[in-house]
Amino acid sequence: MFILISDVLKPVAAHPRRTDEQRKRRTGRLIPRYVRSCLASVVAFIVATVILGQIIPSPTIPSNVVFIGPKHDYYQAHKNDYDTLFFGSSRVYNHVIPDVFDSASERAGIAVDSYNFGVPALRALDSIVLLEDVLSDPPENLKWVFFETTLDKGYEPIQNARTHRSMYWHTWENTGFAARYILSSEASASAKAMLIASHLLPTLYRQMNVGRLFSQVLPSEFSAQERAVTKIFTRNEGYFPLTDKSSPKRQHFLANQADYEAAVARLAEEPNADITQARLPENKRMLLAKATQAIRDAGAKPIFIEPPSLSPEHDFRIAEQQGDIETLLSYRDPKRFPQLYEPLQRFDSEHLTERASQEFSQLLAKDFVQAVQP
Amino acid sequence: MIFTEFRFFLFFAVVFGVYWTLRPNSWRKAWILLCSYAFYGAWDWRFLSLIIGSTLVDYVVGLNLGKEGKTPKARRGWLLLSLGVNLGALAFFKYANFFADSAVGLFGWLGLPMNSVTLNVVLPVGISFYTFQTLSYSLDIYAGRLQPRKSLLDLATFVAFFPQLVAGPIVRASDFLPQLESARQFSQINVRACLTLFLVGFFKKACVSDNLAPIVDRYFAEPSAFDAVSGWIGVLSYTTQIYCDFSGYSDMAIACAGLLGYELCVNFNFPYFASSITDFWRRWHISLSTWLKDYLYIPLGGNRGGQWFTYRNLMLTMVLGGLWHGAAWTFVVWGALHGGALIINREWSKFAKAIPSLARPSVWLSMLMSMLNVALTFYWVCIAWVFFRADSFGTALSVLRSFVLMRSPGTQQLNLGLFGVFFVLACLHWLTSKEVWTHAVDNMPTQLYAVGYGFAAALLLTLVPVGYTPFIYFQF
Repeated sequence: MFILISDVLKPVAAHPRRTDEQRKRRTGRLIPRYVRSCLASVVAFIVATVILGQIIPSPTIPSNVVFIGPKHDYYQAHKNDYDTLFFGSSRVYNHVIPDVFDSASERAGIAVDSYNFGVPALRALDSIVLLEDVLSDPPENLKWVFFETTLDKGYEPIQNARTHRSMYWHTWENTGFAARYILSSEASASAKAMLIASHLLPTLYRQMNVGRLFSQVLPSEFSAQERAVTKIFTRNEGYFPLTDKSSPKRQHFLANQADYEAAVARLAEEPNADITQARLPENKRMLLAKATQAIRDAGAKPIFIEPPSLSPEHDFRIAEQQGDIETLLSYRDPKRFPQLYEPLQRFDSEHLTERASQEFSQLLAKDFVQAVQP
Repeated sequence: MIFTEFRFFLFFAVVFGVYWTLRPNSWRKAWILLCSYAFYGAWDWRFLSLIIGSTLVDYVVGLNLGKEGKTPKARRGWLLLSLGVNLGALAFFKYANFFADSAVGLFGWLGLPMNSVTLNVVLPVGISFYTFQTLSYSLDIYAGRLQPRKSLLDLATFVAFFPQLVAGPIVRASDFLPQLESARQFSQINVRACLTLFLVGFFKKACVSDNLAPIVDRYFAEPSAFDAVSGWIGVLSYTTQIYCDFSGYSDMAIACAGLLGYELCVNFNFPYFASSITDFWRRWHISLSTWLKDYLYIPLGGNRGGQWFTYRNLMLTMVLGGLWHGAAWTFVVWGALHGGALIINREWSKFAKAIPSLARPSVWLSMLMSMLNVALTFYWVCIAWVFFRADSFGTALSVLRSFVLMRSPGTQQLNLGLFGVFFVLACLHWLTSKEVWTHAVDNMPTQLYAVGYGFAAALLLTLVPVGYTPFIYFQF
């Protein structure tokens, strides 16, 4: 630790001039020497990162990844209590209440114990990684796994690059999968390049072990808000109710309710759209196949969910029609499920209120029992 | 864009590569100017107009101040224009809401309630720094210490020079402009010193300051929830954080400028080993303290009047220095605490000189006294930092109850292991002040240094907390 030397070096740096004699001596051999030194530094840096990566490897799911870490820790401690798992974005995290779902299922004829592994802002690629990581060591009695995701383009927000959330899953293997997903999509070549580039920075940070030692010696503390949220979803077996009426999203929704109603009206016409000729892009098929495989390998039956959202995509319906997925429970239809789309039932344009989440969980349980009962 | 971000390394690599490839000095300056504007624009391009406007005003003011045959009245007029534009922008962007709120509070206290008006003003990053730089240009020309520059490119490069643009050191025109006159030679640069300095700055900022930031935030958010010992941890954490944050930034700024061939002034010299508060201000944020001395304290009369006149000037300088840091009364109190301590220190020095045993102490007494002086100065500086960090007087008093009186109603505890971290850092800092490492680093064979640098960089990255913490001084 020779590094707190700056104050001593300052006089040197503040007067970086060399004498003329020294300068003459150095001229001519300067550039090759600097090139050699730079190369030596870069090689030493790479070697050191590889060695450090071996000495302090990153856990598959580190505890300090916000939302995911605490959920995984809880799951690891209690996983054999559960036979049903829910995976997905905030539309699972904020909509599926395990208690309500379990009792409604039992009333309908199947007793289940479920855990909500939904995570806010989970995208297509990290949702599949999480699913595979968790199911690599499944509960003993796992029977059903519900999976929800938006089959997006595979973009990783650059502003998240140096966060645990983004870094933890960017192993070479997962980045390779992300690259395959993007390359086999129907995006333009330039868009593909941009999308792949968005994964390179977190991969680089992970490979350079950024924050690794410190996280293990003194794990980063979650903020007070994150700790409070963790407490609530841990108490509710993974579910987090949306109750903060002052949240900006809620305020925006209340101020723009007419826009929401117009979007619902547009969506109401869409389920009738003809998708018989539609074809699911190769990358999305690959992702769904991977999810299905991971769930089946864990000894469970995959059930895909389309929550009551305003998304204009028909991906899951097309996948079901093509036979890529077997069981789909879709609620993306304001005509069939008006109770889930009424403004009073919505916390914001994409999420349900706590009361509506109870209704949704009951509805889901009923449909689940119907779908799996012989 | 901040110095510890990955994109800054890419940015600097491009700046550095192109800069040394260009031959004509004017091209190099134009390149630096372009990159400096891009650097600032990466934060918010709209506020580039402020820097450019300020540069143009001071360019015109400088030329007019330098013209022969101008009457003193006309010269004063030009100087007032520079002061008005620069300080006006600073007042509007930084202090408008502060003064409006204070006025409303004052009138309310006097029984004349007023409606509060809050302007939705975004504080342009680094405005306090570049405003002082441009002011130094006009003031030096007015005082005859500097000749006005005919080259707008030179002046613009001086004002916007990206390594020190947003958080100092506050560079004087008389120090920097002469460096722009001739092309810098790469062979004249002490590359090793610059690279080491950058790594040191990176360590201070990214590995020490950024890791302490969440602990400090947690403590100062609700100090009364923590016990008294945690109060000490909270205050010492902030004391370490602010030093490592700011001096780390200065180190990296000096290193980046040095790699481009420019010298920036030294900004820190082991301030926490100061033996008095006067000594502290010779070691802490040196570019600001000398700026305040030369452009505020001395023009106010300095110590040329009587004792009370000197004390008034000291207090005024420190209070305004406090206000320079932030638009809040807590910063004013911080400045006043330092002003008060400077006055007491002057009085004590006079008193000590009059007592023979204190004026000519024995070796043991001398050693004991210097240790006591360092400890007392450090303790006072810590107390003052509480007001600097706290967002209200209530919070500051709650922290001081723990830190000074060792009393707190709280039961939560911060990690006691941090005392060990402070001890290790203090030891390293002390050894550094004794120049233990300097010769070893300087005399290391080049290839060994290069390999060691790569290893050290890789090791430092493992200590960097995940997520960015902006530099504290960006807000000033």
